[in-house]
Amino acid sequence: MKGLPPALKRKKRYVAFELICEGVVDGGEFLSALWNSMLSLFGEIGSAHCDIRLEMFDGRRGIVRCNREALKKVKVALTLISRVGEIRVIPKILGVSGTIKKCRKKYLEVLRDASASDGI
Amino acid sequence: MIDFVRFVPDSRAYNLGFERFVVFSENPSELPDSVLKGYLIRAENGKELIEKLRRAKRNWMVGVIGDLKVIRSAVMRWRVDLILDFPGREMDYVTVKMAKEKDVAIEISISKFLNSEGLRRLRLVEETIDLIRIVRKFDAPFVLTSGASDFYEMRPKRQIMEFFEILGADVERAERWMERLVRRYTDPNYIMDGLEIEENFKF
Repeated sequence: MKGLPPALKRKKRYVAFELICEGVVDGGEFLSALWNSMLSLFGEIGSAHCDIRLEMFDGRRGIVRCNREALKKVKVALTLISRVGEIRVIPKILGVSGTIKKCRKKYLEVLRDASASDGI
Repeated sequence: MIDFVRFVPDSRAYNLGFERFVVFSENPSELPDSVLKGYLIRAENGKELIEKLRRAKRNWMVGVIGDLKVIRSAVMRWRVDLILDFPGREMDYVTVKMAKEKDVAIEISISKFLNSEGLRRLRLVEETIDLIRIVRKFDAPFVLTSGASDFYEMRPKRQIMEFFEILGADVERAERWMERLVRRYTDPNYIMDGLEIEENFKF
């Protein structure tokens, strides 16, 4: 609903994830796999108000936005995805943040540049 | 962090946050020394179970797969460490109670949830919630694992824990039971809970 006062707006969470797989995954197919997993696990009423949106995805790593109250459900639904289209995947959750900027910086940029030799 | 699997994991598996693996195989002598060896016993009846138990070496962790009759006789054997999870496993109230008394751990794995969908997964969830309730009642030893038979059935430890937390499992307790089970085979100073050899102690 639009025009809600700030106190009634739902808080969001941003989940950074990585798909361990061979090949590149299509964003649309991944989102549909996530919704299928949500609906299969929690049903239509349980999945309502989750506000799931794929904020960014490069074929391997991405960020999913969801409602704060639905965070656990989204994490479990992500965990139970085993295939996106015909590609077998392991969804690895990198971390959760309250803002997209921090999420991108902390989990996608820092971890991308991290190496064992640097001690990170 | 440790995971129980059914295949020899490669370097990619270590990137999921695990330090070591217990690999269950029907022929553990063929497994490499980099993993902890687990002996998977698949038995049709009690006689076959006892026969296969005789072949188990001292440094092999022993896990059993079979129907309810086999599982009941397995929890009575001191050499059995673990009742392994597989699709279609039957566990009942009495077996869980006996598992507690005989100190045999019950494995609950996530792989069977990944390989099923719809009504089948719904039944699995129901059965697992019931099993976790009974395990909690008796404080029976249980371990939460991936139970993966290939790399793509594996999941990071934290995600496995979060999934079973939703089903009502006490994940910290599960972690403790797992550490205890692995220590029996890896720590030479460990004798039993609360009793271990202090090496550096000087009179």
